[in-house]
Amino acid sequence: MAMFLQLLFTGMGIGAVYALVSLGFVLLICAANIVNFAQGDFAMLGAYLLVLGLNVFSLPYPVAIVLTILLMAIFGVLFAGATYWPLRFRGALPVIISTIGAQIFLENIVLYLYGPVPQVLPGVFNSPGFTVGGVFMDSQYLTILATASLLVLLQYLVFEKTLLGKKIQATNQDKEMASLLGIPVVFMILLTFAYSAALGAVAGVLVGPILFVSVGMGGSIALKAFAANIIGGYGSIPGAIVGGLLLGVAETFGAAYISVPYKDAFAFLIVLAFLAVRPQGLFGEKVAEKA
Amino acid sequence: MKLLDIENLTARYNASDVLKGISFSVEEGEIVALLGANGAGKSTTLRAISGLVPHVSGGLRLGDTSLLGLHTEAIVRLGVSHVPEGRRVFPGLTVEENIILGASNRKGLQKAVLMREVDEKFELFPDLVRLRHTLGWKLSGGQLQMVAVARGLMAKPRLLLLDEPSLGLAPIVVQQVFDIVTEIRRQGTTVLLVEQNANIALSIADRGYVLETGKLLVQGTPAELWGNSQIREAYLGGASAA
Amino acid sequence: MSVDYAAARRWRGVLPTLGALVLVVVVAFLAPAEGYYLNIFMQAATYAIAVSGLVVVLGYCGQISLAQAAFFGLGAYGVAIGTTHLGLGFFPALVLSAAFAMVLGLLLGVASLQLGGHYLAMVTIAFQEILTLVLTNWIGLTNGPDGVRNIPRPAFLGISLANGHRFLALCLVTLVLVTFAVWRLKTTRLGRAMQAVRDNELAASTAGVNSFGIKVISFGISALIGGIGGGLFASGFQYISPDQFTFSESIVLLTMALLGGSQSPFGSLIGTSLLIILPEWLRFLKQIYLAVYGASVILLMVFLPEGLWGISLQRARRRARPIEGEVAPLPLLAATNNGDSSEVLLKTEGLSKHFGGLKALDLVDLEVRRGSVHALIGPNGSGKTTLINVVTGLYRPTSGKVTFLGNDVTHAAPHRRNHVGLARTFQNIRLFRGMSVLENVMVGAERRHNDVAMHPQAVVERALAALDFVGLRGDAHRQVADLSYGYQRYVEVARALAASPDVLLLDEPGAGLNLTEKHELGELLRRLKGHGLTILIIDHDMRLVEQVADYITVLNFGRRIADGLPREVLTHPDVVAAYLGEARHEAA
Repeated sequence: MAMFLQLLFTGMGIGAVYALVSLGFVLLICAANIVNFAQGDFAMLGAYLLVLGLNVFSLPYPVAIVLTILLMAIFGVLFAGATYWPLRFRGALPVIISTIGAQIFLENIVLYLYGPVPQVLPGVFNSPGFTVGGVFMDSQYLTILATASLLVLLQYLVFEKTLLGKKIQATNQDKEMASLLGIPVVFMILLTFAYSAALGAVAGVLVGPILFVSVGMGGSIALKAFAANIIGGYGSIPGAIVGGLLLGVAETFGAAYISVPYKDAFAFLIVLAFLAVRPQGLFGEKVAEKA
Repeated sequence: MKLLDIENLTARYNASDVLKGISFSVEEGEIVALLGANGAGKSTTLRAISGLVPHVSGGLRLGDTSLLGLHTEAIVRLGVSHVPEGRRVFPGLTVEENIILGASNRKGLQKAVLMREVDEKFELFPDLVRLRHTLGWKLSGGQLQMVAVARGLMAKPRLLLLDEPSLGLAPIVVQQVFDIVTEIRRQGTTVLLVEQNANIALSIADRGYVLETGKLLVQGTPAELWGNSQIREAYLGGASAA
Repeated sequence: MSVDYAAARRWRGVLPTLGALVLVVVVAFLAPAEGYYLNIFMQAATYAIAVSGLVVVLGYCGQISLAQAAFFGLGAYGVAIGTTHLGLGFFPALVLSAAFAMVLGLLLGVASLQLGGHYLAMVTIAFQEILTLVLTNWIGLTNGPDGVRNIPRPAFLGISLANGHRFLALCLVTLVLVTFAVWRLKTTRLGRAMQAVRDNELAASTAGVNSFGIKVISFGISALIGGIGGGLFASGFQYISPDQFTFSESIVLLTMALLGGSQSPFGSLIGTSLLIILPEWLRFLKQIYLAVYGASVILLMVFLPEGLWGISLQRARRRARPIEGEVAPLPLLAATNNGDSSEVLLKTEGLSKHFGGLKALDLVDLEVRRGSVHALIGPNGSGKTTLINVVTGLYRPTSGKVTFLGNDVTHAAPHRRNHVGLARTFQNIRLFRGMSVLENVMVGAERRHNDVAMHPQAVVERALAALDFVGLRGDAHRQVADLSYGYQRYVEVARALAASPDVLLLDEPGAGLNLTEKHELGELLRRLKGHGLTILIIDHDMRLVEQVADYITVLNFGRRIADGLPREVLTHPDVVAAYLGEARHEAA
């Protein structure tokens, strides 16, 4: 039982990271209808910026984190300007390819600057954690779960309880109509990019101390986030969160009880199973083309 | 005084002209109807006024301001509110939220004032009161049309553009919607109306224009247009014109 | 003089291909025999083969595949394991592994039954990732991350290809043959069907293309070609490991296809060569060259949307010549209006279609009789187009029955309905925008069960005859996207006529036409009517409807409110009310 709970705890922790990246992913799908293959690299860049702040500029941890997130939000706007804006009228595929180009670009720039050796990030708290009922509560995993919950709550409040949130939703649902009401659509989209990149940065900063910070960390996280998205329902915000958590837990249990080397395969097998049986995902609605 | 003045307006879409130089004007306080068959360019005219058509040339003025080349959001801020074809009520937002967002073009509006105006809209459309917190996608066609008009009015427009408000509505609901349009005009808003339903459009309009394939065919008062055999033919064919 | 268009094209490209074969053999023997540059050549040749597969699935059929490296890897591992473990010869191993890749490709294509766009992309990613994991972890079979060494090179007709020159020659010869095959595929019936699916899946299905089947075949062909490339790659380099066939390699292959222009195998050749040589050119940039490469991908997407080959193609299109010569007129023109006009060809009974709470169609009965022109009218939003969509199978009815030529087709797929003789046009024109006028109409003529469908020459003639009929023969080689709105409508009509349908459905053919064009349309309809074609037409133009209609059915709010002869229907008070609104007095 303790083993089960321990795995559940760890799985939820990893799943929360997937959920955060997946959330950023979904927001861009909703706001701009783009599938951003460089989403994982937002996490990677965030982690490297934190390494830079801590190790090179010796900033205090909280300052470094806040700066990282702010810089990544600005980066999100630049990213939109380079990959999305020039191609926004050209359909889905060109934007996908251009985000793939961005992925190659970003990963190799960082590789050039930092080299292939993974960087070590210290945890947010010095204490390793504590044990409750035979389950070891790692402090970093607790931090991840707490931060993710807080962010999800915050986002819910902004989306559902503020005028800004309603304007973002209106923009997502019908851009032309939103502009006819005088909602600044471009600003809303750029805001979403900034927030999406910041969410990625938070994920990277949180997962960095667990995984080592490496150039390749973004790619595998992005694939899981995309998978989480399909499981939860393409373009569904609650789906992204639940899908991410589910994927993290499934992966952890699969590795523990079935096979470690095939750990990553479980994610994709689950996705294939979903696509075969319930392609609209957990929270999605059936989509049909109109004649 | 001319509120909207359009002179030799052309619009291109996919390498062909959809508006081929049309000229007309709307006086302050008028209801003007644009009539014509599908594909004649009625909706395109409204879309050109709102800045939704990319390649537009000619003269397009609201009062003293040229709208040509302005972004949609800027045009809306100048007081042009467009209730487009198909209503376009946000499906994932409630009726109240949809109506609130109608005021997005007005800067520095106080929350109390905003909510008072929202309540006024519910007084104008009492049928919507019980649907206040219902999501857009659950509404029927007539309800959607009322939400769309209420939302359009929240912009406090000088000029209200209505695109096919009668589309797909039962006659009794069409009556209701057009009664409200009359009421809106009585309160001082100028209305430019696109309709297929010529009879009902001309019953409330001061003047009408008939478009055919991007050009103006005829114009006149409702009585003049009714007297014009061309119009009757275009709408019901020769058999009933006799 | 008759048109010998197809005959002339039968041998098209054969001579240049033979020339290219000789040329590449010469090149292979002039290339450096060993080491780095030979490897570059070998890599370019085998990758270019795999990228040609992407041209089929992505360029022709418009489906995103992010798993081409997986098929490449399947071919490579098949040859590696077949030759080193199982003692097979190279060629049997190549055939088996390419076939295996094709089977998996077909299975992947089956996923497209329910899924499109991003979902399908996800399936291909999942397939790619799982294959990489299997290659890495099934150590007993694949030797795991260490890879497979000492893969032999074969002998061909007694000539050993162990030497680098000779094996490179084999790779290049294969490349030329694959390129030729893929290039020719584009102008075959299958190739046109693929492009039709890519450009407009709905229109393709109502023009008789089984879009699901076509997608499955595209994935199969693409995987087969990828497998062949991979098999040659394994023998060429004699060593393979799982990291050569990962997701990122799939991305590289995709980029090659897009850079060159995914619509043509020549584009893919250019793209592949460039992206293999580019890192060599950028070598002076040292480690940062991959970053520059990533940035170039973005710039290419922004500034070269059709790829390098796409640009050269745009120039070539302008120079196409018209096709001279007489063609047999449309068969329907031989007929006169003498069919049994009491026979009901198309019938709906109690047909309903609800969208959520909206009753777009409510218990509609309709009978279209042989040789009649039947008009369906009603205000906007009254359910006319929905009715046509249900009749052609694009929508499933909520309840009710559709009978065509005596068969219950209520549950038949759109392309099946087309096969038995139902053709339509669309209110918002749905042409295959990436294809020429002639090709658009040929897709229509290639309807299964059409008399000409199996004869390329006859298909061309039928298409030209249909274009003749609508007066667009001179524009046969133009891209449809370049035509004016009115002409695009005529192309749609020609596409439907070329299928020799029993019933033609026209959804607002007059919308957006000016007076002259409407007049021409009226003429066209009267000619069709004169030859006894059965037509169901939606239009708002009452002059047009009165001129051509034998029967009129009026819909309002999804219900049939009137049905019968034009004069009776048009004076029916309900119809007058539905069109003009209730009479209303100012005094109110």
